[in-house]
Amino acid sequence: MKRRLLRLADMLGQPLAALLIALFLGGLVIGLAQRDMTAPFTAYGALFTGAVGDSFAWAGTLARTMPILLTGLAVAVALAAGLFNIGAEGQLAVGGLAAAWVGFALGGLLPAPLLLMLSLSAAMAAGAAWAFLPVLLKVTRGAHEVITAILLNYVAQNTTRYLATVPLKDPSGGGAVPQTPEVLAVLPRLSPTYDVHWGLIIAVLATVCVALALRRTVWGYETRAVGEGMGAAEAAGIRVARVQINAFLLSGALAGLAGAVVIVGAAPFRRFPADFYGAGYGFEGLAVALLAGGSPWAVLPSALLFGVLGAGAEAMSFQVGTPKQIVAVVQAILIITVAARIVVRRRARSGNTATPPAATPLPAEAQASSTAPTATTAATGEERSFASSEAAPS
Amino acid sequence: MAGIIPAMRPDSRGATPSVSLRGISVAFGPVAALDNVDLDLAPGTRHAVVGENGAGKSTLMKVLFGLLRPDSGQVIIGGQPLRFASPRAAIALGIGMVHQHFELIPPFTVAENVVLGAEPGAIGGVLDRKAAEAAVAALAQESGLPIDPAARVEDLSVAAQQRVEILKALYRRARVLILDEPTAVLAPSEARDLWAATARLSEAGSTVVFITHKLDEVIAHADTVTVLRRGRRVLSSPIVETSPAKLAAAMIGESATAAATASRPIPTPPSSSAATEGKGSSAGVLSVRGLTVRERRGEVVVDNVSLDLRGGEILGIAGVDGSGQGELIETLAGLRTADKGKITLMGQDIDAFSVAQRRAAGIGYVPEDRHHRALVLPFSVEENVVLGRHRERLYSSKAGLLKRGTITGFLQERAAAFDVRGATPGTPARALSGGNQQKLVLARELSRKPAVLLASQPTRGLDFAASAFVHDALRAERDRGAAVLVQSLDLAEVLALSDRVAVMLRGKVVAVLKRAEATEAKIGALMTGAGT
Amino acid sequence: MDHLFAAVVLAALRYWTPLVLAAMGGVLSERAGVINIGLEAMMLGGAFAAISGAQATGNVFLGIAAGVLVGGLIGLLHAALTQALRVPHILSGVGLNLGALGLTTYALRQAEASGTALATPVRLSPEAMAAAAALLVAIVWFVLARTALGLRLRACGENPEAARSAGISVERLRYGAVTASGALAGLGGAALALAGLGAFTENMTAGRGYIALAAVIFGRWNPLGAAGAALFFSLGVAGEITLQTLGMSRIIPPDFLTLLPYVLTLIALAGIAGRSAAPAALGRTD
Repeated sequence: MKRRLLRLADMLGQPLAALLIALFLGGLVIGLAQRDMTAPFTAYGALFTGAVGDSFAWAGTLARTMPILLTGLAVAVALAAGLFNIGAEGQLAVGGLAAAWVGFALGGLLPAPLLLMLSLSAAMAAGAAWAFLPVLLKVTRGAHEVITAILLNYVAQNTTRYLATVPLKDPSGGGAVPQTPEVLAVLPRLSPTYDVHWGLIIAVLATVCVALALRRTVWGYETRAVGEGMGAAEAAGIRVARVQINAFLLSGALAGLAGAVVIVGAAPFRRFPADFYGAGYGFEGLAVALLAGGSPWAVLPSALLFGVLGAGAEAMSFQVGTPKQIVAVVQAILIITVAARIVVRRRARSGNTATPPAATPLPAEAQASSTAPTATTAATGEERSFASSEAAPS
Repeated sequence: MAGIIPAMRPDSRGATPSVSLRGISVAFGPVAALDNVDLDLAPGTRHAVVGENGAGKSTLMKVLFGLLRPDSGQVIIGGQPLRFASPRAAIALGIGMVHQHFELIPPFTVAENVVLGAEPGAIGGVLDRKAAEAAVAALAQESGLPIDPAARVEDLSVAAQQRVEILKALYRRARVLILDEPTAVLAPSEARDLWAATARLSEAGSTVVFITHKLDEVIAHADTVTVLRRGRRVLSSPIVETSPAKLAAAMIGESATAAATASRPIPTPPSSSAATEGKGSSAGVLSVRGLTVRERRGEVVVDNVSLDLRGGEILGIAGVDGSGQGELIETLAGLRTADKGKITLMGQDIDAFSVAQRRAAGIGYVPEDRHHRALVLPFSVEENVVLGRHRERLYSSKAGLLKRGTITGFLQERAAAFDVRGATPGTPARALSGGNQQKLVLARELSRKPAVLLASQPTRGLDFAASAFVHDALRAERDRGAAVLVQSLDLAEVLALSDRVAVMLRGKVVAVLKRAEATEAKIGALMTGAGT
Repeated sequence: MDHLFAAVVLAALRYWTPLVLAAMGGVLSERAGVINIGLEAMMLGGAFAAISGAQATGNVFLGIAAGVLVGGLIGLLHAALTQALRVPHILSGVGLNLGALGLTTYALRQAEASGTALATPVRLSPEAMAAAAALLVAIVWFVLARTALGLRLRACGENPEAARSAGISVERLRYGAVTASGALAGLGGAALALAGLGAFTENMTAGRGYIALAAVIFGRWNPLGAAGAALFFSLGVAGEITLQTLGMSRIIPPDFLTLLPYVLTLIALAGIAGRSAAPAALGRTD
C-alpha cells in the first residue's frame, strides 16, 4: 500500500514539480515586467478564479478544453506511429470550414441530426485529406512530415481565408471579419445554463476509444509497433507505410473534427470566420500531446490543464490587465521541463535493467537510432544502453 | 610542413611506457564485470587477453583506455598512476584503441578520419588537406598498413577500415595499441597481413594488446597471455609456458572443459550431416536464380546469385563483411526489392510476395540486428512473441481485437520451451539480456515450423552458452526437415553448422562446397578472391 | 521591363536576407547534429531585441548587437536543453517557439498598455544587410568545408562516438554551434526588423524560421545549397508581390498568390529524396 502510494506520488510528483517551476518562472516574468512582486499573485489569483472559481468558470474551462483534447489526441495518434503532426492547425481550419459549408449549404435540405452527422463527417474527411500529402511524401519520398505540414499550414490559412472571404461569404455581412453564413445544425448544449455542449462528450469518447484501441486492437498494436520499432515491424510483415498513412489520416480526421466541434458548437462561432486559422487549437494540441508524453490517456489531464490555463488567461487579462500571452510562456516551460523529466527517468530505469556490457554490443546498439532520428522517436525520449552512457567521457 | 605535423618516426616518438593495472574492479549494477584484476604489459611485447564472451575482456580494455572508470583499482602508466579516466588522458600517455566496431566517419576521407581531433595547423585555421594526406601516406608506408589517404572511408573494405583505425592511433603517437577482437571480421589472408603489421610494431618497440577468443591466434601471435573468466584473472603466462589445452581449461573452467569442447563451434563437420544429406535431398525447398540487388545509390550488392536450398540441410554462407551476404538474406526475407532474378519457394514463385506473404508461405527469419529488426524493444515480451503472428485468428478476433489471454499463454509456453529467462508477462523486451532476447526471437520464428529458416549472424554478441543454444536450435530445425540458410562472418561458426558452404565475394556466390570439401584454408582463399 | 526586373530582384533580396541568415544558423546547428526548429524563436527574439535595443540607444548597430545577443542566448538555451537535459530536439524547439512568441507578445502588450510602441526611427540599409548576409554565407561555407573546426563540427553530426574517441568534446562544440546558430538567426531577426518596418509587431517573423529550416533541408544541409533554396523561395515571394502590383490579383485571388512560394517549396521538397543527405546522427539525444 505504501509502495503504491509512493509510486503514485512519483508519477504525479514530477509533472507537478514541472508545473510549479513553470508557474514560478512565469510569475517571475510578470513580476519583473510590472516591477511589482505582488503582481504575479494577483494575476494568478485572477487566473485560477477565472478558470475554476465557480461553476460558470468551470464551464468555460471545459469548453476551452474540448477542442484541444481532440487536437491533442490527434497529435498523440500520429506520435504513436512515430510521426509528428505539426499540421494539426491547418487540418483544424479546413475541417472547420468543411463543417460550416455543409452546415449552411445543406441546411434545410436535411433533418438536423443527419445534417449534424454529415457536417462532422465532412470535417473529418477534410482534415484527413489535408493530412494526406505530408504522410504520402513521407512514405514515398522521405520528405520530413514536419516541414511539409508546416508549408501546408500556410496553404490552409490562405485557402480558408479566401473561401470564407469570397465564394462562401455571408452576403448579408455583419461581423468584424468576413465569415460564412450561420450553420443550421448545432451540437446541443449539455445544460441550458452552461455553455458546454456535446462536443465535450464527443472529445472524451474519442479519447477513450483511441486509447483503448491503441492498446487492444490489431490496428493499435501495429501502429505502436511501427512507432516504437519500425525495423522489427517491417520484418514481421507489418506494412509500415500503410500503418503510417492510416495513423496520420486518423490524426488529420481528429484535428478536422476539432475544427467542426468548435464551429458547429460554440457560441462565438457557428460561422466560419476568415481568420479562423491561428485560433491556436492545433498548436496547443501539439503542446498537450507532448506534455502527455504521447500517451492518449495522459492527453485527458494534459488538455484539462491547458484548458484551465487558457480559460484562466482570458479572465486574467480581462480582470487585472496582465496580457494573456504569459500563459504561452508557462506552457512552453511546462512541456520542456516535463520532457527533461521523461528522459532523466528513462535513463535511470535503463541503468537498472541493462545487461552488463561485457557482452559485445551489436553494432546497431552503438549506432542506436541513427536510421530513425525523426522528430518523433525523439518525442518519446531516446534511451541508451548503460554501456554507452558510461562510455561517454564526462 | 614538418613543423605542423606530429613527428611520426618510431624512433622520435619516445619510449613505450610500461603499463600496469592493479586490482581493477568494475560492477554494472549487481553484476561484477571485473573483480580485482591485475594486468602487466611490458614494452615491445604482444599480449593476448582471452576469455569467453562476458568474461570482462572488453571491459578491462575500456578501463585501460579511460572509457570506464573502475570502481576500485589503479591504472599505472610509465610508473605514474592515471588520475583521471578519460580517453584523452590515455591518448596523451601514448595509448591507442581500435574498437571492434570501428569509430569512423563514413563520408570523410581516410586522411580526414585519421587527423580528426589532431589536425595539422590551428583549429580555426584552414585545414591543409594535402599536408594531412601526405602525413597519412607517410605513416601508412612506415607502418606497413597500405591505404589511399584520399579515399572515402565508406568505400573501403572492412580490412582497410581497420587499417584506418590503427593509423588513427599511430598518428596520435600510440605506443600501446589495444585491438579488440581484431580478426573477427577479417578473412584469413587479411588477418595474416594484420598480424604481420603488429609484429612490425612490436619489433619497433610498441606494445600490442589484443582481445580474442581464438586460441590459435594467441599461440601464434602473442608473447604473453592473460585469461579472464567471469571477471577474474585466472591465468597470466608467457606463451612458451602454456598450451591451447591449458588456455582452454582456464577459459572455460576445468570441469566444464570436456563438455564444452564437444559442443564448441570448432571447425569439425556436424555429426548428423551424413544422415540428413540422404533424407533432405528429396527436393529443393528454396530456389534462387540470377538474383541481383542494388543499393539505393545504384551499386550492385547482390550480383546474379543462384542457390538451391534443400529441406533438412543447413547451407552456410561464408564471406568477409560486406560481401552481400546480409543483403541476400534481407532480399529473401522480402525487406529489399530485387532488381532481377527469381525466387521460388516449394515450387511457388514468391518474387512479388510481401514480407507477410513470404512469412505465411513458410519463411522464418532471424535478423542480424536484434534490436532494430527482430524486436520492438519497448514492447512487452508477449507483444514481441506474437509479432508477425498477431493477425492469425488464434491471437486476434475477426473484429480486430487482440486476444490478450491467449497471447500471454503463448508466451508462457514458448518462454518455457526456449528457456527464455526473465520473460514474465509485461516485461519489456529491452530488459532481457542479449541471449534471452535471441531466444525469444527463435521461440517466435520457429513457432510456425517454417519450411525455410533464414538466419543472419545468429550468435553475434552472445555469450558461449547462448551461442550453443542457438546452434542447437538451428540444428534441430534442420533435423526437423527445414531448409536453413545461415550467414555469419565467423568462419568457424559457418563450418560448425553447415552441411554445405557457399562463399560470397563482392556480391557473387563464388563457390558452393560440400562440408567435407570445405577446409578453412580453401574457404579463406575463396573469401578474399585468392582461390579459383 | 528592366525596371520591373530590378524591382523583383530587390524585393527578393530584402526577403532573402533574414531568411538566409536563419538558414545559415540552421546549417551550423544541424551539421553538428542538433535539429533546430527553434530558429523561429531565435529570429523573433532577435527582432524584438533589435528594436528594443535600437529604441533605447538610438544606435542601429547596438540594436543589431542586441538582436545577435538575444538570438545567441536562445541558441545557448536550446543547446543546454538538448545536450545537458537531453530534451528531444524538436520538442525543445517547439517549446522555445511557443515561449518566445508568448514572451515577446506579452512584452509588446505591456508596452502598449503603458502607452509606448516598440518602434525606432533608426534603419538599416537593406542592400548593405544583403551584402553582409552573402558574406556570412561564404564564411559559414568556408568554416564548414575548409577548416579543422568545420571538420570537427561535421564529425559531431555524423558520428559523435567517433568524434569523442578522437578526443573531441562533442558537447562543447555543439554548444558553440547551436549558440552561433541562434546568433545568426537573431541577426536575421534584427535585419527583418531594422531594415524593414522599424517596429516590432506581434509574431512578426510569421514562420520565417520554419521556412529557413525548409531551405536547409531543400539545400541538403549545404550552406550554398541552403542559400540557393532561400533565394528560390524569396524569388517566389517577390514574384508574388510583383504579380499583385501588376494587377494579377484581379485574375488570381491574392490569397492564392501569397501561396506561390510555399507551394513551390512543397513541390521542390517532393522532388528531392528526403533524408539521404542529412547528417547521420542528426536529432539523436543519446
